[in-house]
Amino acid sequence: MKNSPNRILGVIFGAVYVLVGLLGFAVTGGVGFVATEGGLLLGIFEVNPLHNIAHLLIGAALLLAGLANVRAAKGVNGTVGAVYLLLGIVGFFIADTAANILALNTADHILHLGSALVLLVVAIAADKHVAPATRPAV
Amino acid sequence: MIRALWPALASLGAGLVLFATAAGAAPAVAIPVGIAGAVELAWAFSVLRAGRLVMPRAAIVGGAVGIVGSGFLLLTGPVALVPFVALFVFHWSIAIAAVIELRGARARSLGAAATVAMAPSTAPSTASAPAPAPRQRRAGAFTIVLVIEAMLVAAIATPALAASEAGEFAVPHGTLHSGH
Repeated sequence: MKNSPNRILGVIFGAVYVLVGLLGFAVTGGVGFVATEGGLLLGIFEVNPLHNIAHLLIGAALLLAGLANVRAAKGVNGTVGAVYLLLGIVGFFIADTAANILALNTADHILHLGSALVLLVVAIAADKHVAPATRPAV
Repeated sequence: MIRALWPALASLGAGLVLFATAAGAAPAVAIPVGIAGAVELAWAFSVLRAGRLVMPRAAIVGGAVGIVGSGFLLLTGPVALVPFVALFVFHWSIAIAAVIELRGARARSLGAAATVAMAPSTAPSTASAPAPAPRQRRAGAFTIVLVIEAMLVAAIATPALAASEAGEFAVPHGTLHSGH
């Protein structure tokens, strides 16, 4: 695992996102499931219960893939990175509207954009020796 | 690959800021700026796939055009000061990285030519070749550099996105608005 940046980052980011998801519930007591105004995690990141669940699911996916093998880590890192990039862009433009069902704030945007760049770049640029999944012959 | 990470990330950051600028601009500005953003993203992905800084001469020209263009947009209104500073930093660093890459390539080709001229022996000497770094150490260094640089680009790009015309409509809850 130590030879693969995809697995290293998948495990680290996965563990951090699972932890963040769990800690989020400590600050979202009384906050509506999709409330646009959430609680502040670590005094910085605004979250609501849906946001916490998203963190848990994404963290679990990254962690499991990172622990599994390089190909899985690379695939999940790329997918989550692309989703985060989309969220970093789209979420930005819906932040002050009723569509902000994840209660995103500026600190969230920095974290999402940073995570997107890290996960996308590592999926594209690292572990190039890993062959893409081949389709089984029918 | 590690040396090519920053220009690729900076180009991704510049592309995002240009898209935000295009999103809030009139069509006459939005179309060329949006195309420029798409070119930035395409170049960044090319660099990442190639594992090295591709088309360094074009990158220098692109960096210069980016700096001059964002200065023009600052003076004429579509770009505020914060996005301009972000675009300046991204394009300037891309151009510098491309210059370093070109100089390195020139030095390598001169060194190779000198080696061939001075040592006509057909047997290549491996005694002075640097030992390849252990894969594990390279992976660790790549990971650390990538995380630091990506977070730096995010920290530069996000305020720039917030200060863009489109970002004005996306002021985050509970941080800048007080009248909810």
